[in-house]
Amino acid sequence: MTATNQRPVGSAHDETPLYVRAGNESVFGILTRPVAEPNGLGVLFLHAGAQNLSSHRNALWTQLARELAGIGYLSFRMDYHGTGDSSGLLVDRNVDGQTTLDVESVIDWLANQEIDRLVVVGTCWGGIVGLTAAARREIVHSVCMVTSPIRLVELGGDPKKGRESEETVTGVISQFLSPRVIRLLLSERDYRAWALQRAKARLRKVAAAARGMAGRDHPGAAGGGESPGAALLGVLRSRVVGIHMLFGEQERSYRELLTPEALPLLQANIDMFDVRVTPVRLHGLSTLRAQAVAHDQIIEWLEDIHASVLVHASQEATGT
Amino acid sequence: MRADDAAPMTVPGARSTWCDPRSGETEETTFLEVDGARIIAFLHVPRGPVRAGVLLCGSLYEDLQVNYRRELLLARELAGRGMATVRFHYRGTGNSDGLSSGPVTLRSLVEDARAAESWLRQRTGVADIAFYGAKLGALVCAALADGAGQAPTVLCAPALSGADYFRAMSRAGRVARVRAQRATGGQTGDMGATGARDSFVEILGHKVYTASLEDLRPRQLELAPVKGRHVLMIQIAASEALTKPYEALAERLREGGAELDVLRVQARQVWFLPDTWEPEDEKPELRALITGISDWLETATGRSA
Repeated sequence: MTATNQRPVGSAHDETPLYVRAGNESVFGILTRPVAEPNGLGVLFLHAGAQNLSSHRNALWTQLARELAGIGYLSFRMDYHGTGDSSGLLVDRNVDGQTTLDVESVIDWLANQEIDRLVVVGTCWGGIVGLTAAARREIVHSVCMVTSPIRLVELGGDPKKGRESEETVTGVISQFLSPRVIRLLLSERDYRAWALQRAKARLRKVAAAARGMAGRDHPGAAGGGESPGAALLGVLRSRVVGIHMLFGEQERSYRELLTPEALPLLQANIDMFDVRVTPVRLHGLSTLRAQAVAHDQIIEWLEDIHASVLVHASQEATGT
Repeated sequence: MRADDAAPMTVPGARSTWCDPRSGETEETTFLEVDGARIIAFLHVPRGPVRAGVLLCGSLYEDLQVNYRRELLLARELAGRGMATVRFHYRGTGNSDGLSSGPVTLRSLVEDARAAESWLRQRTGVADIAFYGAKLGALVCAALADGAGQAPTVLCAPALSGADYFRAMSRAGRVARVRAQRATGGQTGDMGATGARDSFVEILGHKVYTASLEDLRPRQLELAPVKGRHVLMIQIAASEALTKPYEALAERLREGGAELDVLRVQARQVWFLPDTWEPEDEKPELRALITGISDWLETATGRSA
């Protein structure tokens, strides 16, 4: 443990690698113990899905877990089944099935680790998985989502849903004819092979989308009975779960949130969300700047949650 | 000091195991002490007798994430064939501690790999160890293999030098910028930024310190001539033909007395960047790669034993 800015920071000395049973799978993760007075709060870190691991890109989760240990948080950074060091094949890429079981098994295990409340932090798809888990487990106090495709709450959990209409023939062609792409096509043999395969795949998607457009319905607008998204938000509202979101302002996940006709259910419940926006492109956390913005926002959220829990505890103690 | 002479280094209380009921193999995770810091390491133990050991030296930066699952699946396949296999995260990466002495260097990478090798020997008692190195990890693998006589050695898509590796990483960065520009309609943030004060360069969203660049860039992939050493060189590329630099490496290895085999794997994704939201397990090239490496190691470790 070392001290930075008067606040202690954890290290691997304060951590234990663990496997948590989730049905037939073993979910791998790292438990980080507090290095300051425990504050009764836990954090569950969820990464973005396939081709990711418990430490997240550039060890962002590792860094955050060790910093938060310095304000008394206990945390766990995990791999879903079929990712990182967990068992199995990532078969459930929605927000149900084994994925839900993975997260809920870990939350149930964490609930027995001397914490009173849990905050779930997720990037991209991980944020949506966390939001779903929050509705099913009462220990979850807040959810912090970074660049999460929030439309999935309205459209169902499939990350590919709602993407079909993006593709147009002219769009695909114009992207492949930009000067930078042409430069790479001329100078890089491997890029040529890769781009050709991508172009074929995208044109196939355009054709498929064109065939399927006529029959598409909006799941959130389906008549008769409450949609799954409405039920989810209803539970979260009744339990007053804090929902914090961070978006890059240029990104589609944010722009569609601003379009009432695209996501009417989310628009009707917009008061539930604490939405923060940055000019930095966050998707994939593919730049140091994006990682720094996400890091600072997550720390700010968790410091605020810590402070509000302290205030609440003090009010309870004094009866105010 | 050879790794097998080192004192036990596992950290009490920081160990966890999982037994796969489908295969009967065990995966054990622990932190190892290296120079006051801790690195995470994973040991894949076969169900039956251990016939050999394999040390996997992964790569760094974006490769850590992109190749991660592939190396885990390789380790599981090798354990299924009786080869105890160790993977690990270098200091300053993944779930390991940072380096107290500063940025990574070839020396620090080799120290971490030696600690993992030592743990493999202690936990399993294997005398025969084979080495696997991917991309930049091939330089680490070569350093270890050179002290291990005829130990079978796998060089998977090896970087021919540190300079070659960073050049390829920069090219991938250019592709990433084009893709980011498409996704945001032109706004790309500040990829490729240089931090003059902290002396690092940003490549593909990773902080590559000047000290690491200066240390790693001049390093060449060389295996000392050992007559009869079995080496598998793997090319992963969009085309099947062996590239000229790999042809030259193959020539050098053969001239040095190595018994060289070459595995060519055609892959769609030849860049550092994932191009679809697709689990590694489902990529068509994965089976060819894992089966090719495992078959070769099974034969090579049998020969050396």
